[in-house]
Amino acid sequence: MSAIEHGFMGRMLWVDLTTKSIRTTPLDAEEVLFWGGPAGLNAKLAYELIPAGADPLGPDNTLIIGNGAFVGTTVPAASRPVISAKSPQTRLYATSSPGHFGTMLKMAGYDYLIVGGRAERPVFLKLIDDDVTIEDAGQLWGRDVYETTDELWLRYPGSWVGCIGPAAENLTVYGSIIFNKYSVAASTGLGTVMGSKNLKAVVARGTKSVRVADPTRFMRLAHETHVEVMSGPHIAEWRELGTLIQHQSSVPGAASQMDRVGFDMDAWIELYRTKLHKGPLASPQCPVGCKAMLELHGKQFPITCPNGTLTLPFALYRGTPPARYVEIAECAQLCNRLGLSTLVVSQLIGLSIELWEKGAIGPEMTGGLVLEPGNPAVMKQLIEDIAYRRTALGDALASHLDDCLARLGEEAAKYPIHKGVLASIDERLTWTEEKRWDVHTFSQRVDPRGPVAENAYISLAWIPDRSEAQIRRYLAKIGVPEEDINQIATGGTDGYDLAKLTRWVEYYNLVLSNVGSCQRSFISKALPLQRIVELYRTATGLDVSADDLLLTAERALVMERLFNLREGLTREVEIGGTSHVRPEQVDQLNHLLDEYYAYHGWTRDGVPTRDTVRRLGLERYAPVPRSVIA
Amino acid sequence: MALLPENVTVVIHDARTGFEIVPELCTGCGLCQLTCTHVKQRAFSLAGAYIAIERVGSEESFVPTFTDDCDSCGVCINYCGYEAIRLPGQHRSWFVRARELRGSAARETPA
Repeated sequence: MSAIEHGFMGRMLWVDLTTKSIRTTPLDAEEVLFWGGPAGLNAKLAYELIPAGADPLGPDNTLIIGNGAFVGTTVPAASRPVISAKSPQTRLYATSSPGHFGTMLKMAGYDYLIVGGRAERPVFLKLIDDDVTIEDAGQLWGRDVYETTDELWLRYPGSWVGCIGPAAENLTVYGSIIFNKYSVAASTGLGTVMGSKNLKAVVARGTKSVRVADPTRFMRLAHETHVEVMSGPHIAEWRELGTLIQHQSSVPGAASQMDRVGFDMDAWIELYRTKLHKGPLASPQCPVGCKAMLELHGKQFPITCPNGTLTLPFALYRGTPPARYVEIAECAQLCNRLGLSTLVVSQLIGLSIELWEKGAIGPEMTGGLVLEPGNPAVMKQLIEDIAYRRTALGDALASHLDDCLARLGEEAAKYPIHKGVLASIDERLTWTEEKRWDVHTFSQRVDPRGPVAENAYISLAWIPDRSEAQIRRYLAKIGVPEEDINQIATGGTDGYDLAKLTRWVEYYNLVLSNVGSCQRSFISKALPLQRIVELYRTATGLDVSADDLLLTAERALVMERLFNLREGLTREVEIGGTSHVRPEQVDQLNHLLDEYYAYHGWTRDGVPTRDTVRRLGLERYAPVPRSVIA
Repeated sequence: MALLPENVTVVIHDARTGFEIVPELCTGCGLCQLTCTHVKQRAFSLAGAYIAIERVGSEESFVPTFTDDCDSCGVCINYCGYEAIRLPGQHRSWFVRARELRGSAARETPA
């Protein structure tokens, strides 16, 4: 086998923090051909490198950062590495794709950075081209994300920095990695894995080049993609409002969600437009710029997702008066500084306030803090208590959810848990007696990473009430065969076959993940599967077809599942807590799960059958006991 | 809704290239650098580009500057969707134009 030369750098960098060894190995072309990219290869490496049942906060856990073929090229917004490990939050496979860092990792000369072991003392990793060293981080430990990034930028001008904040240092299980102060690997606790390894930061800078096999044809295809992206209908709105756009346009249910929690979205958007928003910020290589520079108290700060990390979490809990909305931005900034997933934190703050109102927890747990709803000052205090594990409540909320709810008492134990996370924020907010499972809620149930809102497999294109013609057009674009298109568009009990739809969109999004592409709708709409295939062929020189790329996506999904099965995933775990839904809705979920598993070639327990494993060529990577492979 | 702001406060005239630089519009996306190195070196690189993007202090704000090797070919201008680098009086990037022409600029691909 030989190292791949085009589309990739052909090198993997391995660092063992226990033995302080640093080495590189080639990234083999055959490996790339088999897995397609980091969506699958990360899962395979995690399966091989992380022993079954490993403590996610122990030295055996391994942090894997992998790049796809388009990262570091002119394909719009293709700058997303895939970061994986075993999650301290879900205790299953963790993965997240920040819109950053991948490009500079490649420029330094590496497709992959794999970090194992545990340093004796706080360290950071410095990757300046071939100069890779483990540096003392004693002076950085304890400092927040902004301070740490500033210090490392000062020491290494022009570098890109990914670091953790105090929350991950203190092993709060959902600590984030934050890149250049704004781009986040948020959910599943990947920052906490760094914290457990005493790894404060990774700094990269490089002078190398990404070479593609056929530069002229590749550039022509990338150019056409750009033109299509920028000709899209809502680009100016995306640039001004970022992900807040969904509250403006056509997302059914968004407004009613906000009404239910008494949030004045018009007032918030007005504040956002006129006071907070200072200009667009772009992921590397992105011509749209849906991220934002905001201004608070005369100082600017960057933010990645004005809806998911700013508005939604802190709007939800609850009844904050419009006059105090600016403090919502302060809450989000505080989470960024401390390195916390805003979505998880806000769910737990909501839980705490509800438990307080029910009298289930009192001042003896909060250090005297009164948990009144709608008071951002309370939220800020709780965020700090969680990050620094102060007070009995803060320490409980920073722990694994099983442990947390046990410590918060009987009332807390009634809350539905799904894969180590409170059953999704959307479900708890939007669930009604009449509601049926939809693409959003169902895909979160089967997501190997748990119900994380960030990076959900189903794209925003799949919101309810799309016409059949729209569904058909979309499915053709993402490579679904005609027969399946007919079945999805006309089958099922809701006017479309939800289980089969979920399967195909999973594949498409894993293809995007495999090449390092952004999954935002304005980018993916310009990347039909056939164009991805042509870009991939001209980038790598590998002779792949659409079917080949779909097969790599299926391998990735099955490999993630094999990892999770080895960690104890069962059908019961997949279904998770259902105390908030009616028995009929649980029946519908079970029915959907049966269909979804069958379409994938998995057993009723969600285990890939022997035939499926063989068809995917995964026998050698999946040495699960014979009793498990049906 | 306008794609670009109507007013900017600082415009730098780069005498050697003849280009205009508008730092407050630069998002640091790096597309100009990757396009530059594609044209000049048939490879994608940030450090090897004839245009440098310097971070200002500890902010996510940037100033593009041109190196001595830059021959003013202008391909970076075509690829700046934010118009942070532009030609005086004729400052539309391909992408901004494409947006208005609804895709008809697709034929104009770089060499």
